[in-house]
Amino acid sequence: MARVMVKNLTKKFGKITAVNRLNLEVEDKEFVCLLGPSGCGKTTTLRMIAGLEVPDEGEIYIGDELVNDLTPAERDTAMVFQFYALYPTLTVNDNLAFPLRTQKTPKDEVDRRVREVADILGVTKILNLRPEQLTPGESQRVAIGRAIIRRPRVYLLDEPLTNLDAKLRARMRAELKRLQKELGQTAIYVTHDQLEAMTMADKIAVMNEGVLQKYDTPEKVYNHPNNLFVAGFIGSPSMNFIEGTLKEMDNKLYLDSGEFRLDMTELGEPVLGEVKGKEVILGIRPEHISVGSKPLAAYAFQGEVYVVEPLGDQAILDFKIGSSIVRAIVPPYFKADVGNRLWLSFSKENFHMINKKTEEVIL
Amino acid sequence: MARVRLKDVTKRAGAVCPVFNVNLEVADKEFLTLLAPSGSGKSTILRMIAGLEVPDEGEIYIGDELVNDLTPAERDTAMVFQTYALYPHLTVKDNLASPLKARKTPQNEIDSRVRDVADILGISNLLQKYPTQLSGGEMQRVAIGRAIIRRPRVYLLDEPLTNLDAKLRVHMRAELKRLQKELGQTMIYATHDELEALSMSDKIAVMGNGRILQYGTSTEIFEHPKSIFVATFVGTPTINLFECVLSEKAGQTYLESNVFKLNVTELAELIRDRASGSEFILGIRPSDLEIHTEKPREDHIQGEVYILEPMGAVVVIDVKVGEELVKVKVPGSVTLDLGTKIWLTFDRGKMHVFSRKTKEIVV
Repeated sequence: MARVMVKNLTKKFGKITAVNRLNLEVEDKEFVCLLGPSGCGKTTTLRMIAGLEVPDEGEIYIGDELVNDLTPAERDTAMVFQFYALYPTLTVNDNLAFPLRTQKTPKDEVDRRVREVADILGVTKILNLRPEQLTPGESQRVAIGRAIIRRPRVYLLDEPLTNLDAKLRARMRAELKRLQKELGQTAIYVTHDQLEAMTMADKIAVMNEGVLQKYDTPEKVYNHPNNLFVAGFIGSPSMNFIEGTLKEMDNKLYLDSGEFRLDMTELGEPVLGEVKGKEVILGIRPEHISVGSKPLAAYAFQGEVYVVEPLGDQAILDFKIGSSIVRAIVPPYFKADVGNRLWLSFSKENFHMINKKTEEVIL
Repeated sequence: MARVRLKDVTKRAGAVCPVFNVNLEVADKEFLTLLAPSGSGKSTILRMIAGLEVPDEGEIYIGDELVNDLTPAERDTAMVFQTYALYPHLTVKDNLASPLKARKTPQNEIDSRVRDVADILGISNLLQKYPTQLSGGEMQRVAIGRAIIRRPRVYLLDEPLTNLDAKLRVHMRAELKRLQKELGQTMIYATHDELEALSMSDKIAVMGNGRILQYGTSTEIFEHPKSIFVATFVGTPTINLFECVLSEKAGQTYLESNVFKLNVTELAELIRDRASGSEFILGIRPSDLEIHTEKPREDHIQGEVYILEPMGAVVVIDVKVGEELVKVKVPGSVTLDLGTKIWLTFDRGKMHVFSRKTKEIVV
């Protein structure tokens, strides 16, 4: 059990800066996800914490100990990979026992711990099988079991669910999250899947091109993105982005998208003052748009239904606004046909204003 | 443009997954999806329609023409595969033009058709590039463009979006659906992704083990699954299932599990009419369950909050009921502490009762 801290961590591969001056503090017992597209530096960060990569600059602390100069084994972390990496010739029982045997743990303790871990992960019935006889879900559980059996100070997980099918992934997500809470151990989890990060993490570190974009709770990351990248990366279907220009006319402030105009006078002068060139992007999440035959909230514009996507317990309406698509989530019984002209409404609490040039969120 | 009909088509084991007694009718201009886990024979059906496989039994009609004895070229279909199969040494423009050149179409017509198709798919700015310079989404668009440039009678698409990342898949889903409507051409689409099937199709044929198990619209498949297989295959998170017995006491009929007891007297006659035995499985979708923090008067299922999976717009609450986990999908604003005692209720119209023996729907 330990907190993990990295300070000004930097790693370069040739000309590419994989991780750029990263500062991150993971509390004891916390579950932190490093989230970002491939090449964002998340795996490199994890490998530096594990001791598998040497940083060019910066410090890594586990507990209160500076671990830069420690070997991977001395750091006392356990890593789970995307590929299960089980020993094919050993039974599940022996795969689980392996980390303890290498530490020369007494036999009766090994047996007891294997039983315990098998019980937690629901793999008791398969202890005598070999890896080739297991389903992917079972293999991944055994791999996780092998990581937790040793009670290291920190668990490091690198996309452990990526190779599982969608249904199993959804189930394992909940199981892993609960397991981490029950074990009460610090976990750092790398993923490119924003849904995994949202559902599992206490905190999410969103990374892009080696740079930390935002580090906060899922709720804060989702509801209060700080820039265009974070706003677009988190959430599915993605946040709608509508480009426009802020214009002053007759003592009023308007946002002009080219297709529609919204009176945004209530936002006032401060907003306008922040936007040099007045080019902005309006960001609205699909679930925050109310659709109807008339305006339903303070802000509203019209659009023509382009595609209707029923999804069982909800539906997505795609609207064509100029050359871009705006998506809105509606209940499954909502009746709309392609070509219908409808109002899309949203309230002040539910949109984001982004400076087009700096890509930072203004409001 | 043409309807497609399969009559008692069987293809026994061989190089492809077998299919048995498939009867299917796809109306002209319809978007039909074959939805099934991998290895269920959906590609086999597409390949038989295209003429790449020969059925052992049965008849295949395109339009009103029996095509069993026609060559693939004579059948006039176009197929798009999961892997894009573009010519690496040709530019996007020449890749698009290749099906027309093979048919000796006049050069000026080729040019105008390439421009049209590039415009529809938004790839006009890529025409001079080579496949290696394209992103995954761009390659898939070119592959689709090459299929549609020829205006065949039927489009056959075999998991065309599977290799794209999640965001792009959501985007392409809507685009493909719209494109099919604009072209007004019959399309048969194979996928293992239930969301693709629900969102895009006019009709869905759910397959398992080489057979068509259910055929209907998205709404029919989602709201009225005929079997446990279909009910669990479609819908995320997966439908909750409870093993129950039908019992009687003082003139009232109950569905009883080891964790709850529901009065189903109103349905008793119907259930007994349609199924023998007393063992049933009750299915309720996560979005059809309602959470109460105080004990409700009506029949309920009692449990405690096991884990929360926030997803932004919605949150999935995993509720521990006895030894089972029940998933409940509620709006994203709901928060509850782990361990909180809660009660679940649901609208009787939303429950599905399956026979435990046959796994088929009863009510």
